[in-house]
Amino acid sequence: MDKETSVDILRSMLAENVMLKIDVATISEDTPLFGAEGLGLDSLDALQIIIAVEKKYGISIGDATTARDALQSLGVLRDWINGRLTTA
Amino acid sequence: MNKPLTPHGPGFRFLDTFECVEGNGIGIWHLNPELWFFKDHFPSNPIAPAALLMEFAAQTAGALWMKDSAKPDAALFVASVDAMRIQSAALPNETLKANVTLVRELGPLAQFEFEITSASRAIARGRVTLSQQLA
Repeated sequence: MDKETSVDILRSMLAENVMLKIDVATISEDTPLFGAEGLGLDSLDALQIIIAVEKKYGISIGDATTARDALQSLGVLRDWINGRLTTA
Repeated sequence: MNKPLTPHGPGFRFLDTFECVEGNGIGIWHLNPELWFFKDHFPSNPIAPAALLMEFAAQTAGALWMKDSAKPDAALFVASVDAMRIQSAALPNETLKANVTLVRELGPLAQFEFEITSASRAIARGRVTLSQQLA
C-alpha cells in the first residue's frame, strides 16, 4: 500500500474511475467534486472513487456521511487519506 | 408455485436458480434453444446477446443483494456496467453460471464483480452497479 497520496495521484485516480467532462489537469485541490458549482459528480461517481481509494490504500471510507465529508474536494480527500495512513 | 427469484416478468427472467455460497451469489441460467432471441440473434448462428449476459449477471447480483434485505421484493435498477469483457460465445443448450461478489455498498448503490462461465469455459466478466432508485 502507498504511504502517502497527493492531489496529482488523486487526479489520475479520478480520471481513471469517473467520466469527467473537463480536462483533469484543470481540477484544483479546492474544486468541489459535487454540485453545480463544482465537477457535478454524482453518487455513482462517489462509489467508484471510494472503491478505488479502498483498493489503492486499504482504508475504508465507511458510510455515506463519512464519504460526504471526505469527498468534498481532492485537497480534502488527500488530507483525509494521509491522516488515516499516518495513524495506520 | 415457487416465488420468482427476481421481480421481473417471466419473459425477462434469466435466473433459473440462485444460491449463496460463502457470501458469493451463484446464478444458473440454462440457454434453452427455444428462447425468443436465438431466432434472430443471429439467423443460422444463434448466440446469446451480450446485453442479456449482463442482465443475467445483474439479476444474480440483485438476488444476492436482496437475500437478507428487509425489502426482498424491492425493484433494483442497473446504474452502471464497467470493464465488461466477452470472452467466448454462449450458445444454445449451454448452462451458464454467474458467480457474483459484492464489492461495496453505499446507500442505495451496490457494486458487484461477476464472472460467467459455461462448464469451465469463461464467457464474460465485469462489474455491475445496482441502484435502489431510478436515476
